[in-house]
Amino acid sequence: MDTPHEAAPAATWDAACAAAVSVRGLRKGFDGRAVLQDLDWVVPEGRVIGLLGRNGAGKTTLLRCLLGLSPIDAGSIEMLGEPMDEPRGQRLHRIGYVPQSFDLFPWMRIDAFLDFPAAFYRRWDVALVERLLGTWQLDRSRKIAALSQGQRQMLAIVRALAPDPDLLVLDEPVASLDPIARRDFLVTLLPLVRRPGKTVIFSTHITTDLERVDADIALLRGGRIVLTRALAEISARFRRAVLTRAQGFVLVPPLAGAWGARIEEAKAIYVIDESDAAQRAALDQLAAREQATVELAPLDLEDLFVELA
Amino acid sequence: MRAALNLALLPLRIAPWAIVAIVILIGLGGVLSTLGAHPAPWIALVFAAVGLWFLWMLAGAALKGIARKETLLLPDFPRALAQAGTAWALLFWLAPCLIVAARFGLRPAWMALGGGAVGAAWAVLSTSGSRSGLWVWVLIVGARFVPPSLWLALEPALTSAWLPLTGLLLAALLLRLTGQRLFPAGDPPLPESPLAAPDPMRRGGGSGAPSAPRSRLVRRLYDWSGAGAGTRLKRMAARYHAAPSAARERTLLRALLLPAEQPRGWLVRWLLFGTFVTIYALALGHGAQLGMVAGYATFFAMTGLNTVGAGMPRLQPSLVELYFTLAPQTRADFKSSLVDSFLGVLPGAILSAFVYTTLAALLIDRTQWLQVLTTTAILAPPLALGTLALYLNLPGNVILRTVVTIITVFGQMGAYWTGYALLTRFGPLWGGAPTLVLTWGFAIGAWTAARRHWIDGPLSFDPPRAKAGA
Repeated sequence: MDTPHEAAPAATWDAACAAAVSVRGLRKGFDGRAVLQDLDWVVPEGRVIGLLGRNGAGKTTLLRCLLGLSPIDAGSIEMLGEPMDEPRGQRLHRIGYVPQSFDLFPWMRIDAFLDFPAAFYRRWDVALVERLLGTWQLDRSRKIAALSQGQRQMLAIVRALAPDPDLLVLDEPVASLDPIARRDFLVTLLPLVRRPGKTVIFSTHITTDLERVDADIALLRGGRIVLTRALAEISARFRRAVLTRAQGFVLVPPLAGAWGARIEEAKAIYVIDESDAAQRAALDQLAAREQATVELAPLDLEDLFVELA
Repeated sequence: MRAALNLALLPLRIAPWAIVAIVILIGLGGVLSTLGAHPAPWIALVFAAVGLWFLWMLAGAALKGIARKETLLLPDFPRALAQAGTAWALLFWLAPCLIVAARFGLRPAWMALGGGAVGAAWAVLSTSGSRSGLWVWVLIVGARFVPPSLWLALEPALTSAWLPLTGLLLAALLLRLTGQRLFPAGDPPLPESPLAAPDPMRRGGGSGAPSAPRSRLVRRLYDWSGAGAGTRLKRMAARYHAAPSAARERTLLRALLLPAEQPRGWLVRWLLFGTFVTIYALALGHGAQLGMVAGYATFFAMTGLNTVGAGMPRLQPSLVELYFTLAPQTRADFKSSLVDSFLGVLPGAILSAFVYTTLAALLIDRTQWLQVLTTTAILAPPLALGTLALYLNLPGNVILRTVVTIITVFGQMGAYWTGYALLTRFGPLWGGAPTLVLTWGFAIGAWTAARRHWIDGPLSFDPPRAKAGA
């Protein structure tokens, strides 16, 4: 079933706000398989963006393309006000990056790994590094290869936060962290991102973390950003509509403008934007035509992700 | 049964070209043995033995490719491996022995059974990451020092009908060692830098990364060298932070990427490689051609240069960190910084050439040490630069890569040998000057072209794709 977001242009935030990231017509494929297709996306400065999408949707590819780590097939990318066709020197020092799998310099010891970048950055928060290494019990003398996946992720986070970046790109940064470390990370992240001009792009499957940091949501599906909304707006607008009738539903009746539609236990279930009057009217007409009752229920972010992704 | 068949066919799948070459080799032996007025069946026997030796090496390489602890979790893997091994033994050990029995008689077949078992087991062991191939040198050197009286005493044992039985027992021992090498108990060793210079105490593991040495003494030496590398990196980082400059950035980058290129790393390498140069020189003895021995010693000195080309793909994921830290203006700038940092391997290679060739001269012919030193002074720097240039853009194809490596190695040794001969014949001026001009001309030209090609190539931050049997 067609959903409106596939045809509609990606929504944007306040146009007056400067863009930390601006993507136009981005295309990227591997071995003839298109992963990103004419993707447009604007990330305003000073926001925390939760990038959501199913496994294989292209989140990591998108983030690597943004950072210039993966060549693009077509389109244009601007990061912090400059085209990303070349690294352009000090601009990279304003960006922090936590990769999905941290396999950098496995032969090095933690202290040497941190000493090296510290020598190059003008801003390097030694106190923050010491605090995080202490809190997360990362022994400076250990080799990176000897760390667990979670500890490597902690180290990557320390490294990314230390230069106090203006733009922080986090590719599933907490996937391997235990709940305590995850909470520590979010506690550390919050004051950083609440300062003016700081932007975070946060790819994750743990939607509760996005709710905790009050992130705006960008949903990647079919190679495009199909939804960009503030979290509060999503909570206020999106609803699950359940159509029930005595004989049940075998096929899901089409509903114009619905964001998602499926059958579950002989009930027709839709995701609708309640603030869209046309959609609401279409739902009422459908219910009348199918002699069904309508029940609207709020959606949390995880529900929405399950319905839309 | 299907799993056993897949395992048995694995060596054929990973290198079909090698199988074709082996079949041609064995066929060639068969043809050669029938030529001439007096057919010589032993020629076919020798060619077949060499062909089968290579075939078992291929089996070892295939085994190494699948040697992961996870493989042992596959249902019935040990049984499938045993079945595949039995099939191989029937086809490539027992069947050839039966042919020998039919053609030459029972006693030669019995000898072939014992010798073949040792050969096959040794071939598998030598491709499983072991340095067992070096035992050949130990045997050769040892044989030189065995007194004639002992040879006389050993003769009955060497001609005894029981000797093949010893071979079978030795083969069983070697296969056990292979199993321990392929599926070692305990945790895997921690990796070293992909650009760390190799040494004779370790070979590539399954991932292509150098495996950790087993000897405690050697491990301690590495730890000592590693501590030196860490201290140096800290010092360089502090120096750069205090007063950044392009030269200091290069030095810091070298300290990071080439941790073994520092005095402690050199000393460890000299100690380990020096042992092998000594064994080689002693094996050849005083009658050996010094130029040839010193050329071979130069090859030892240049082996570290190969790691730049071969280790680069494994370094790619770590380049992400360098990319953000160095914050280059352009990708070409970034690649320039990297490629120029590789020049940091040259001092170690040149100094190593001095150490090894001088050692060879002292062991073979002390009167010629100055001649050797002069040849090394003239040839080692351009040879090192030229070799680095040739290794910088090693092709991805394994056959092409092997061809380039072989040509480079023989080119190095040949150049040294020729240079030494020219210097000996025409003196330092008339022999040395043309050598200097020719080798530097080649080295600078090759480096300039290789550097340009490397910078113009694509920049990848992705890990190399895994290959079956790699």
